[in-house]
Order: sequence, then structure tokens, then C-alpha cells
Amino acid sequence: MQSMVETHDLAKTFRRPDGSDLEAVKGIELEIHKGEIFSLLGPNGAGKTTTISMISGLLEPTRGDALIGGHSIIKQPLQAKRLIGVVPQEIALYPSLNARQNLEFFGKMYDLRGSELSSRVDEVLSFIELTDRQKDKVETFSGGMKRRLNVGVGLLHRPELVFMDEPTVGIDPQSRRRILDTVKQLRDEQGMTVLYTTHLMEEAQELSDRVGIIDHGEVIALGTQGDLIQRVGEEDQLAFTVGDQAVEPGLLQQIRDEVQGVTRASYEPPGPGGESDTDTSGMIVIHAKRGRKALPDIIQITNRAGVEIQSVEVREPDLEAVFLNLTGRALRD
Amino acid sequence: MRKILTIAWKEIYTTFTDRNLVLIMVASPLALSTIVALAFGGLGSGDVPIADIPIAVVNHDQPGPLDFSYGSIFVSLLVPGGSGSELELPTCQLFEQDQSGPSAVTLFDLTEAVEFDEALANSLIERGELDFQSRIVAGQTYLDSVARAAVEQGIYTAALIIPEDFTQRISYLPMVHPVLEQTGITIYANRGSPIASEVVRSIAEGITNQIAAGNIAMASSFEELQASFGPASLGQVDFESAFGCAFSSAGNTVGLDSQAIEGSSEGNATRGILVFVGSAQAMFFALFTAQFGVLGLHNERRQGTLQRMVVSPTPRSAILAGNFAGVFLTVLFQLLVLILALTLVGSLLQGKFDFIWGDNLLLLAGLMLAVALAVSGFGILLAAIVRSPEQGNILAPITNMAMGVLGGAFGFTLPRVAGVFSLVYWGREAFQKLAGGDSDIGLNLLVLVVQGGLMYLLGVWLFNRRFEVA
Repeated sequence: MQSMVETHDLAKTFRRPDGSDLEAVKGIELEIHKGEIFSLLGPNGAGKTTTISMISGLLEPTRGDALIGGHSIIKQPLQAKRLIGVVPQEIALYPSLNARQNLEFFGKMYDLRGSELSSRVDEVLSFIELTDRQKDKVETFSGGMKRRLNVGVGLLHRPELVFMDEPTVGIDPQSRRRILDTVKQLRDEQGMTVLYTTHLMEEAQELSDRVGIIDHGEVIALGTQGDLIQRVGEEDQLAFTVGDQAVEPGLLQQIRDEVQGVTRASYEPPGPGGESDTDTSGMIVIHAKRGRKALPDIIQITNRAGVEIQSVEVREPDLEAVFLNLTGRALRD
Repeated sequence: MRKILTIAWKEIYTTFTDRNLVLIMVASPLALSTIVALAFGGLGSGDVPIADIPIAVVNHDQPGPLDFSYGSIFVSLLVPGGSGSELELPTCQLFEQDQSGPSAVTLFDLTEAVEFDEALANSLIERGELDFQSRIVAGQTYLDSVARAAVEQGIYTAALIIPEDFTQRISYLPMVHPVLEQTGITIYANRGSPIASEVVRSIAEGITNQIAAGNIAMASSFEELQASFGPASLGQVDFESAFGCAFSSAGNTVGLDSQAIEGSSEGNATRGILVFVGSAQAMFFALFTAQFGVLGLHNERRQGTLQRMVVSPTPRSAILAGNFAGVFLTVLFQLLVLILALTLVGSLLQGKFDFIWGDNLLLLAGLMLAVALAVSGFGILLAAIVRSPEQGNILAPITNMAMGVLGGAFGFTLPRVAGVFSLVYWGREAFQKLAGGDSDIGLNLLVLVVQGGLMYLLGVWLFNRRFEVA
């Protein structure tokens, strides 16, 4: 596959006020393919924004280089920057200008002029659904509208590569949903490559073709979601709701012994609902590799034992679990 | 270049669409200048506290055919104990009563004039009070040049130069000098003291009017005597008693009271003060405009728009140049608006249209460009020195107040030796010169352009080195 971004030993060291050094990014090697959504997933302070800042030409790397469409961001910054659209983490707009003026100003920074600029502004306003508010000053916009315009500015010049740095931080679920749909549209309908940074595992899982997990300035894992999960060998979790039926310990032992891949089986009896008014049902929880395959055998055994299964939930391993496995910490720690 | 202009235009647009900012940039200096002009220009109040205005009177006049010197009369009216006092001015019974009136104000109450002779000039130079360095101006005598320098350096508010042939040209004697010729008294006035200068001008006008009136009275009497009784009758006239009242200081309509200042010269005084305070205030507020314009880059960094420009294919130098060009143009536009607005105010106060900035529009435009360069250069330098807008918000008012005080933005001036350190001084002085019809502003332009250019370059260099985008 053709690569859109390549980084080689990309590193950034900051000088702290006390004179000591902080190595925020430690020689990252990345390759992002053309037309894919690549998520850089990591907790706050992992080095995601610093990495994206270096790749976009905002920060000068302490060492290493990044190639954007074959252009070095250090040696050919203007050529490289022409290919990039950036959607920063914070709202980066002029509050005293209206939506159209903001788009026109930044469009001119990408050498768009005249009718081309005007038609692109119209297209973007329509895309972010702000056509009817284009003459309103940005300072009068809601947070979600500002976010959409923030995204729109980054797309104005039809970049081949879009950097989105945690674009859903601090917005309502509806606007968040709209932005996530936009990201998928950019890839599917416009063939753009998207580098998406987030600390939200759900977003990375929903959007990404491939994921790079970053922690303490290093990429600790990189691949498709399936690859990553397979690599850490996580098990599926199967939860069987059995109501207030009694479950004998022998049944759990039988499942462990007879069903292939099952590593653990436990029973959680019914009990008071705690904060909710309704009592919780009894539940059999089973951990198994390739849990879906084990499902029919487990149901057969419970039926034979006279326990009626009321519902089943299969919880597959996720990136959160991968991160936990790799670092010993949760993403939100 | 297009991107530089785009960024500059954005700066100008965001500045001038901010009502509060426009209020500070234009309305404040305009209001302050108008208030000062109304307060001290004679329109708002009759009480202008002026006294002991230092004046140097250089009297080159030589006595005429009757061994009589109008220059000495001039001196006698202004300088107590001067050379004119040796002249026995004729007494005049007509004004005796008026002189003793309780409200009478004489010239001596308003002025502290000295007869400026070579001894006094040398003594000032020797004592180090006057920095002269033999700069004799072409076409002037040594004494004239020293007196002019003394005015420039604030020792005197004005110098009055009475020419050598003053009496000769205006004396009328039917046989000897049967025509009256034009002559003139030169006044060098200190632009730093516009009110006092107007007073001196008014006094000088009054005295010359008085001398002219007396002279006409004498001339017409001579004509009448000669026509009625023949030329021999002139020898029998007692000049002292006949023309005593024509030259008596008691009948001096200038010295006379402050009404003369308010009445005949109020328009000029208002105009002078508007130019003086208005130009200095315009520059004073322009300093803030420039500084906050450049400090706006810090704010742009905070709101992320600067980073957005940096990640676009726009060189960093173009971003800085665009911002600085925007600041320069904003300052220039602010000055233009203020110049026009002050003209309007001046015209309204005087009740007639008056372009108060003089006739030389080309030099005025050049001066505005030079001022805009100097002011924005200073702004860029200051913004480059500080690390944050907060630091700038503290430092800018301090430096600007210093510039304003030294430059005369608050209606008073400090000695020239201090004023020259302020770019407000150089700009304000040049505006005043142009307003007064004097085109000699080359030095002012040079200082402003060189000072502004150096600060501009130094500021850009520092800013480029120290300003971190991310």
C-alpha cells in the first residue's frame, strides 16, 4: 500500500523551566497508508499532540523526520503542508469574524482565491451544515457549531491527509456523533487519509482501520484492531442471565471441563439492585478464547442441567483491554 | 505578498470592527484634545493663568532723523528698565485715570521681557545655560541666532527681533522721508508653549498697532501743519505734548488686558492647542494601538489561530510581516481619522472650516507615514521584549506615558533636552511646524524614520527569535 505519512526516529525534547529535559516523543517510527483512518490512541500526556504537531510542521523535531506524501516536513515544509489539513484539539477560529470570513481567511492561507475559494467555502458550509449561519459571528455559535466549523476549516483545501487532534473533546453526544460520521465520510467518499488522535477507546475502535497505541512518547503497539487483540491473546467474556434459578457448582465445573477454550466459569447469584430499585438477576460468567464458538456447547450443557438461559451477552476484548495488558494501566488512568 | 496583505487586512478588519477598540483608538484622543483645547484655547474659560512669560527683545533699531527710535518705544513698553526707558516717553493726561483703575493689567503682569543684547547672550552661553555651538543661521546676526536658540531650548517663550531700519522705514517727515514703508518685527515663538506664544504674538501685534496708529497721527498732523502754516511751522511744534498720547504706554491697547488675547486670538490659540495636544495625543494612543496589535500575536497563539496559519503553507516570515503590516496600516488609518476628526473639531470650535494642519499635504502625508513607522516600530520592539500579553499590559502604559509626558501629549512640555528622547516629541513638533506653515521638518522625519526603522528591524529580529508558536 502507498504510504501517506512516514516518520523516522521522530523525537521531541522539551526544556523544563528548572532546566531539566522532558523527552515527550522518543523516536517514533510510523507509517500511515493512503486512504486509511489511522488512530493514535493513548492517555492524556502520552505524546499524541506533540507527534501530530511535529508531523504537521508546527513543532520542529529534536531529531528525525516525517515524510508527507514523500515531502520532508523539515526540508520541504511548504510542499508537505499543502497536502495536510489540520483540525486542532482546541477551537482555532476568529470569534469576531463570521463563519464564512473564517473559512475565506484560512482558504487564502492555502492559496485558494476567487471563484474556487467561494465555491469551496459554499461546499464546506454545506458539508458542516452551517450554510444558514454563515454570516453569523463565531462568538455567537454553540460549542458544537464551533467544532464543526473547526473541522470545516481543516477540510477547505481538499487535503489528501487530515490530522484530527481529539476533535470531539468537550462536546455533546449529538455533535460528537456528527464528527465521527464526518471522519468516515472523508475516507469513504473523498478518499482522504485521516490521522486521528484520541484517548477514547470507543472512538478509535469505531473509526480506525489501524491503530497505534502510544504511551510515554513511544508507540507500544501498532496494527489493525484484530491484530492487536490477537497479539495480546485476550479472551471473550460470555454473560448468561439465569434469573433466580439455582446454579450448582458442578455445572460450572462441567462447562470448564467439557467446552473447549473455556478458562474460567463463575456464578453471580441474584441480589438487591443497589442504587436501582430492581433486583439483579443471577448470572453465569464464562471466560473463553473464541467465545462465540463455545456458545452452543455451553447452552447445551446448561439446558441438560435444567437451567434456562434468559439472555446472553458476548463481550469481546477491546483496545482498552489491550492497553491494560500492555501497560498495566487503564486508558483513563 | 498576497498572504501578507490577507493577514494585514484581517488585522485591520478585526481592529476596526471592534467598537470598544475604536472607541479607545479614536474617540479618546479626540475627546481629550477637544477638552484641552476648550479649556485652554480661550473658548471655554476666560481665566487663563498666564504670567511672567519670558521674552527676549533684540533691538537693532537705529534712531531716525529726529533722533527718535520706535524700537526703543517698543522696548520701553515691554522691558522695565530697558534701553527704551532712557527715552523720555511723553506723558499723557488722557489715560491717567485708567492706569490707576483696580482692574488694569499691564504688559509687565503678563510678561517678563528682557532686552537681549550681546552681553546677555554671551553670559547665557558662558554659564552653560544655552547650548549654542556657533550655529549662526544664514541671514541672521549672531544675536538673532542666539536668541532663536534660546527660544528653541525653552529659555524664552519668544524672541522679538526689531530690525535695524525699523524707525527709518516708518518715520514720516515731509522733507526728509515723505513716505511710509513696510517693515516687520520677527517673532520666534516656542511651539512647546502654544498659549504663551499666542499671548506674546498678541502683545506684539498690539504694540505694532499702537506704533502704527501713533505714526499715522504724526504723519497726518505734519501734513496738516505744513498745508496750513508752511514748512517752518514744523519746527515750532512741541512733539512731546502734541503726540504724547500716541505712544503712551497708558494707552497701549495690547497690554492692556487679557481680553485682547481672548478676543483677537482665540481662534489661533484653539487651533494651536488642538494641533499641539491633538497630534501628541494621536501618537500617544497610536502607541497603544501598535503595541496591542503586535501583542495580538500572543492572543492568536492562545486561541490557536496562529498555529493554524503556521501549519498552512505560509512562511513564518509572511505571518509576521502580515501582522506587522496590519499594525502599521491600522496606526496610519488611526492617525488619518484623528487628523480629519481634529480638523472637524477645530472648524466647529472656530465656526468656520479650517484645515488646521497647514497647506503642505505632501509633507503631512510623509509625516504620517514616518509617525506610523516609528510608532509601530516601537510597538513591535515592546511586544518582542515581553513574554506574554500580561507583561505587555503592564509595560506598555509605563513606556507610553513616559513617551507622552516627554512629548507633550498632556498639554505641557518638558525641556527640549528631555523631549528629544520621545518619538511623540518629534512627531508633535513636526505637526506643529506644518500647521504653522513651516516646512522645515527634515530632521523630524529623519529621526522618526531612522528610529522607527531601527526599532522595527530589532523588534522583528527579536520576535522571530523569541516567539514560540506551539
